[in-house]
Order: sequence, then C-alpha cells, then structure tokens
Amino acid sequence: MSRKQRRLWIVAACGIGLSTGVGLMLFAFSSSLSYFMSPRQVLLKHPAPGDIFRLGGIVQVGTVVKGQRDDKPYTSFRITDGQASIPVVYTGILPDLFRQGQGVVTIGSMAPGEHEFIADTVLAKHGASYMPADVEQALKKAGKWNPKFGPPPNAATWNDKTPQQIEAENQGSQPQ
Amino acid sequence: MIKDLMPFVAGSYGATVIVLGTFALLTLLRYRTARRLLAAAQASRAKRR
Amino acid sequence: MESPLTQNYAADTGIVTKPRGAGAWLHRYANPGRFQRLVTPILPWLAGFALLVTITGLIWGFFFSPPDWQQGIASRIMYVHVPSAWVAMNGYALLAICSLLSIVWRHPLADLAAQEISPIGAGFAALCLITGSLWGRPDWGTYWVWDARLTSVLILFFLYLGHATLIRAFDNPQHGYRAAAILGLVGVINLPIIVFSVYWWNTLHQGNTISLTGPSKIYVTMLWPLLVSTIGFYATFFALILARISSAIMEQRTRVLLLTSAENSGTIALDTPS
Repeated sequence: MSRKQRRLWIVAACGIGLSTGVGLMLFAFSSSLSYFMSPRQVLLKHPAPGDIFRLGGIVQVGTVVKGQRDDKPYTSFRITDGQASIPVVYTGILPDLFRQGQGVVTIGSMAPGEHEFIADTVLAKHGASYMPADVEQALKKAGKWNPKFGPPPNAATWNDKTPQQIEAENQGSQPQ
Repeated sequence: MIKDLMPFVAGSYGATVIVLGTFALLTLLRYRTARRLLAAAQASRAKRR
Repeated sequence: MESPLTQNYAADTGIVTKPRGAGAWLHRYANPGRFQRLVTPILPWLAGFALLVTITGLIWGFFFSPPDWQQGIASRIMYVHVPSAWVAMNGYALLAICSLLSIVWRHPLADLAAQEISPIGAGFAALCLITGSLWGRPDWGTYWVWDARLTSVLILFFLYLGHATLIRAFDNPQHGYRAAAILGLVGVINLPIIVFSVYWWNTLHQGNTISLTGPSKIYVTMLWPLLVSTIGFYATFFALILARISSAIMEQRTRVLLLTSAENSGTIALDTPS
C-alpha cells in the first residue's frame, strides 16, 4: 500500500469513527437540542409549576381571546400540535406574524395548580413558503385557502400562476 | 409590533454591500500589489543576468 | 515581453511536481503555474460578471421583489440571507475537499486554496448571521435564539475563523497546512447538521423552502431575484477566491525570487518600477 493510500484509509476510518460518535451524541442529547417542547411532550413530562421551558406549536384556530386582567391587557390562546393542546396566557406585545393557525414558540412556565401556561415571551415561527400579497388575495377569493386554517395549499398549485389565473380557475370550477 | 421594516431591510443590504465591497477592494489591492512586486522581482533578476 | 504571470513557475522557483502512479491526474492540476495560466485570462471576466450579476440581484431584491403577504418588505432580506447561507455552506464543502487533497495527496494548490477560502467563507457566514438576525427581529420577535439551526451556523462561522487562524499560526507553513486540514475535515460533520437541523429537532427557524424533491414553496416572482442573487454571490465568492489564490502564488514566487537573488548577491534588491 502506498503512503497516499494509507493516508486515505486513515482519513476514511477517522471520518467513520467521528461521524458515528457525533451521531450518537446528537441522538443522546436530542431532547435538549430541541428548541421547544410540543404540547404532547409537556403533558407527558409534566414540568413542575415555575420551571421555565419553551412551549411551541400552532395557535389553535378560534381560541385567541384578548382581555383585561388586573388592569393589564392580556392575550390567551391554545397551542396545539394536532394531538394535544395547552392554554397559554400572555401579557405583552405580540410579534407581527402572530395569528391563528400560525406556528409560535412561547417561553414561560406552568401556572401553579392550573393547567395553564404563563408566557413571558411569544416568538412567531415562520412557514417555509413565500407568497406575494396579491397571490394570497387571489387564493382567498378563489376559496382555495384560508390562512386561518393553516399553511397554504401545495405550492405546485400556485407558485407559477398569476393572480388572474388563480381567480379565473375558480370561476370555471365553482360558479357563484 | 414593528411598523417600519425599512431599517431592517436596509441594514441587511447595507451589511451585504459593506462586507462584499470590502472583500472586493482588499482582494483587488492585494492582487495588483502581488502582480507589481512579482514583475519588479523578475525584472531585477533579468537585469542581473 | 511575455506577461510575468504566464512564465514557467518551475523555472522561477525550481519547484517541480512529479506526477506518478494513479494520482497523476490530480497532479495535472496541482501545478500553480498551470493554475496561473488558466485563471489569469478569465479572472477579469469572472470579476466583471460577478459584479454585474450581484448588483442586479441586489437591486432586484431591494426595489422590485414583491412583498410577502404576511412579512411585508421584510421578505426582501431573503435575497441576501439565503445566498450568503448557501455560499457559506458550500464554501465549507470546498474547504473540506481542499483539506482532503492536502492530507492525502499533499496537493500544494489545495493548501493555498484552503488558506484563501476560510477568511472569505467566514465573511459570508457572518453576513448570513447578521442578515438573519435583522430578519428575525421583525418576523419572529427576536434577534437571536439558541436553536439548532442558528447555533450550527454560528459554529460554521467559528470553524472558518479557527481554520483561518490555525493555517497562519505556524512558523513552518507546512505544519499550519496539516493542522488546518485536519480541522477542515473534522468540521465537515457540521454541514449535514446545519441542513437537517430543522427536521431533526424543533427549531424556531423554518424548514427549507427550496428542495430538489418536490415543488419550491416560493412564488416565481420571488424565485427569480433569489436565483440571480444566488448566481451573483457564487460568482463573487469564486472571483474572490481565485484572485486571492493567484495573488498568493505570485507572492510566493516573488519571495523565492528575492531569496535566490539574495543568495547570489548577498543583498536583497528590488527595483520597484516608478
């Protein structure tokens, strides 16, 4: 075996060893590498009241309530992951992207005694899709998407059509 | 709620222009200096021969 | 007179690469003289192309791209954030290939390339972090979070910085090349972590918009400026890297010439043209 071949084998062996090691490590620390817990994980783990953690998921449609408590305006809503949901109370300014059906990450702790999450911070999660405002309007008009109920339809159905085309398709399929 | 998004957009594009512009300028200067010094070194060697 | 850049490197320096065995094809491109002859004529064209396309992409993105339905004009940050992230990551892949060529085949050009890639890569990684932070504030409500995607990109930035420092840290450059090549290869494990972090763990950062399988989740009028700006960023990266490698080769040749003339005459003489 030439010296170059020997060095190549050494590098390959080190690479396999290193990636196995790092892979196992990431797997072992998987739960702490996750930025937030989903409602289901929270219900399984039952964090003690006062323990600060991050709760993330989708803002459940129809649960956003704004009100006053002790003369302070607050927002309450439920965070869901499709399997479980947890009520959240937040006092403060919501980020721009906060809306029903939108992904959100909240930082705070469970209230003592109650099954309610008191959030100190609310961060909005952004979806992976990018859509100009007029295309969104056209999809809404055509009845193909209501942003309240989650992410936009399959991108292949809208990512290369003009707003006029999207509306025209609607007139063909479901006359009003 | 942030109403004015312009500072964030302008800041991003400004940072891009500064970083890429600085790199381009430094690289151009270095390239021209290297070229000039090499030409000088080769000329001085040719003269000595 | 023939350009000083295209003269024979071996004749100037006495360094001759000897291709032999199965790796001979690699040595064909290991020759810095051949690199100079290849790169010198295309460099001005590449630099001009890079400047033109990058500026087109930036103007298109900043002034003419449609605002997103929920982010408004903040979506325009995408046209600088996403290309710089791609260039930073693929730049590291290139750095890792150079490291492999250096460790296994002792490819002299790979060492020079690695040395010139890491500072530029660090610049693009920094740009990705800065623009991402400015994008996160209006969209998410925070400049920074320690989620897996953001943290792994920060690690990429530090890997670049570490490589750039390590490769220049030794009196004997060969020692620097070896040590930095090991760092370059070890750090490549970070690349799949960056790419898949958004799927393996819960992150604040969203998933990938552009995928090779399945439709892109982006409207065409937003995809085009992204494409132009991406081509511009890549062209800028390669123009910078090639110009810097070329400069490094010329600097090396100048040093060798000065050393040999100093050995011959006893003094270092350099006539600078006025």
